[in-house]
Amino acid sequence: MIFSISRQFSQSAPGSQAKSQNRARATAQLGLIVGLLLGLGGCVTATVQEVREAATGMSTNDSVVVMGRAGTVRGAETEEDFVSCIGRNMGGGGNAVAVVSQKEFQDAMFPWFEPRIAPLATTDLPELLSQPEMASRLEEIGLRYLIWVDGSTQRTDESGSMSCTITPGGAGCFGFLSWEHDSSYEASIWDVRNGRPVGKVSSDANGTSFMPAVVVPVPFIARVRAQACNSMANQLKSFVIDEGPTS
Amino acid sequence: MTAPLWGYLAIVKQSFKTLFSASAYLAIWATLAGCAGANVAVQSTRLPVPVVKPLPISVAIHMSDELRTFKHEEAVRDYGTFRISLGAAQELMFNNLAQGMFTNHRLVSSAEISSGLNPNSLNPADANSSKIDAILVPNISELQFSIPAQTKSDFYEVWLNYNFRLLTPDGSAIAEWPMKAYGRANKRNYGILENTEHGALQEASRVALRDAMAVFTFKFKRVPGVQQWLQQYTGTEEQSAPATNSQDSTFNQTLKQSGESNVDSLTAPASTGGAELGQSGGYE
Repeated sequence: MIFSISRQFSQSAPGSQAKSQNRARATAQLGLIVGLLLGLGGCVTATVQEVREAATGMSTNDSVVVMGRAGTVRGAETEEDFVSCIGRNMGGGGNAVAVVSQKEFQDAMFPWFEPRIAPLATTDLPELLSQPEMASRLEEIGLRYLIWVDGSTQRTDESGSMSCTITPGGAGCFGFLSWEHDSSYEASIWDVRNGRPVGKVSSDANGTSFMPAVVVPVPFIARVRAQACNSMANQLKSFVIDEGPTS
Repeated sequence: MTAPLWGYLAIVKQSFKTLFSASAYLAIWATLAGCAGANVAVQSTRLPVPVVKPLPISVAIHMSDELRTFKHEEAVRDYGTFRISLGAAQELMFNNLAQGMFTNHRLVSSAEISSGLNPNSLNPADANSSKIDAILVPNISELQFSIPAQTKSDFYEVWLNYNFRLLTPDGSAIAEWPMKAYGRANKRNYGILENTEHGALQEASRVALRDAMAVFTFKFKRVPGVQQWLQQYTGTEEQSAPATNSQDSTFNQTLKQSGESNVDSLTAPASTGGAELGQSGGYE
């Protein structure tokens, strides 16, 4: 964009050349400022904790599934995109593990993991997964670990005010807004093959986003949920791959 | 110094013009979209075969024309007309459901029922076909839905009320029972550029069909009348099949924990005119 503007003005008359160069410089400066602002974003603090109850490890044919807490009537549920994000991050990058998507798993184990029927706690899983029909289906898909994610991201606080005006001559906003998000998730990891829980990983993140506006509102967005997802996915990946101390 | 400032302001002004026109288009689009309602049809997708131990019976399932073409149309004040078509998915739904639940099954049309079924052959095209043990007649008696604006929540919700009749091959009634199903979809799972109204309502309808399949799978053999009738086929086997009983106990346990000890106690919010669905009661 900056290139095309510069070239266009370089073909103009010499008198307007200085003006056009200034304009191009202003554009570049503005782009730089906006880029810096967007790059900075809001601050996010994330904490990941791990509790290991048994040794873990995966062979080449093993896979994991990441399940979100199922939504019941008027009940809370883990966000679908958070669950997808965990699965995507575990299945990519270095030390990637094979991930079966939640939808594929629900279809393969239908109807046992449907929203109103899925167990709400991993303590109910042994009886469920030990049934012959279920056990053989699990063997077919090569599932080693079932990761059960519970939690959500909430907007905990917001303050400030902003007013915007639009007139035929132009528009502008003035004010300052800030809001805080708090993510709290816990993943319980179940060793399907050995029929026992192997540990838990929790990820908490909070951050404040703000948006000052002097004519143009400039948002500084704290990507709280994304940070919680990245932290948890990395920890989960190393948890299921690494050999830990036996209980 | 003046020139860069002038350039900056010119860019700001241009940005606002662009933003303003984009906002205007968005506002018009949102207004129109908000008034348009939705026209959704659940296609034959993701209605899998249940992973359960099949019951040793051969069942003919009567797919009436009414069921095959079922659709619901309702105008919501200020939000337009909503049309939900579930008929196209019924065949796959009951075919897969029966494939998992019964040893043998066949879907039969109203025309076949009218011309009379041969009780000694589930499938006339197959010389070795088993006899018909029962005829299952499903029917959707009611559909209700709600949109987030009505419930002040993030969810599109769909309630279904099925009525089932189980008949002997000669047409005598074995049992008749209602069954409720529920599905919902979170509007937050859809981006601002997606048609949330269409996508979420379609997903809620599909989830409701899956729920119907799930509830039918676990409840069928516990329906009064069906339970007694089934004993002639499963009486001795039930006692020696812990897997079946284990499935029952796991199902009860999970429902109890989710606070839904009776899956038929679902009630549509009164604000959507849905009280009647909850009042019709379950079979337990």
